[in-house]
Amino acid sequence: MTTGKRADFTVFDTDPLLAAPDELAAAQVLATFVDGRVQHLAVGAVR
Amino acid sequence: MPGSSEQDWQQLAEQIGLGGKRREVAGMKLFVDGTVDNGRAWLFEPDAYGESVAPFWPRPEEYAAAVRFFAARGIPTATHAIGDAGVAAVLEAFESLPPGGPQAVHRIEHLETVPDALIGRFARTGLVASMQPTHCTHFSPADQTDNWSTRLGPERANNAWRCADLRVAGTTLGLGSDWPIAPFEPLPILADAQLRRRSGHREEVPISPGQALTARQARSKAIPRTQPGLRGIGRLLGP
Repeated sequence: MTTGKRADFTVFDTDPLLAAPDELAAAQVLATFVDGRVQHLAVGAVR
Repeated sequence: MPGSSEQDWQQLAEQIGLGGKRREVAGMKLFVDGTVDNGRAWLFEPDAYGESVAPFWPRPEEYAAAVRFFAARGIPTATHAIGDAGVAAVLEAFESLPPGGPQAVHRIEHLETVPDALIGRFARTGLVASMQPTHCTHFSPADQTDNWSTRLGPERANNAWRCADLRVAGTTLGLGSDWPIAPFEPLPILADAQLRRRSGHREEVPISPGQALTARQARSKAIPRTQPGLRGIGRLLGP
């Protein structure tokens, strides 16, 4: 990711490559971005 | 659909590319069978009730002709093939394509039971194996007391959702939900692909645990990275 680009990405509250699968399944989505803009921001997540 | 003509296929082909920014007619969906649970899959040998032996296309060569039509135009296809004979028929259709045709991603959807003999053939066709980990973990417990396992019997039930075998042989996997048949939440689907049981249910026995994927296998996305611009349906997991 670099400044000025328009990324689509999701922010989880855990590392999806390191989390135990049971923990991954219970993970929360903190935010989603489409075209670089916030589409979803969980209440309490750091902006 | 069975009984459709080249004229019908041409009309469908003309719709490719229609859509908007976040939706698109990107390919053709075909079916060669139904489901194991309803006795309408296409198996080499009948199930325990003598069912699941008929193809959806009464003349499977017409299915193969439809595949040739769309593949020759570079149009991605996805074929629903759950039973072993159904999967074999799709592989045969793609094996018989003339060499040098346009590149596109073609998929088999929902394949469930696949014998050893088809694993290597699968990889050589380049077809994507699209499977639903939660079909396995929610509906086919390891004790094989369910309708699906009873119908197939242990040998074929043990050859189901062979994610690891297909992946190791070089096949690109697509993992999905099949919502509303199974839950749509993506994280438990990825977790179930690693666990071979329902995530959050540590008491459950894993189903064919040798077919579990690693975290990286379940999350890597190969097609956009390795072959930009290649036409296909959806996002794919690959080697």
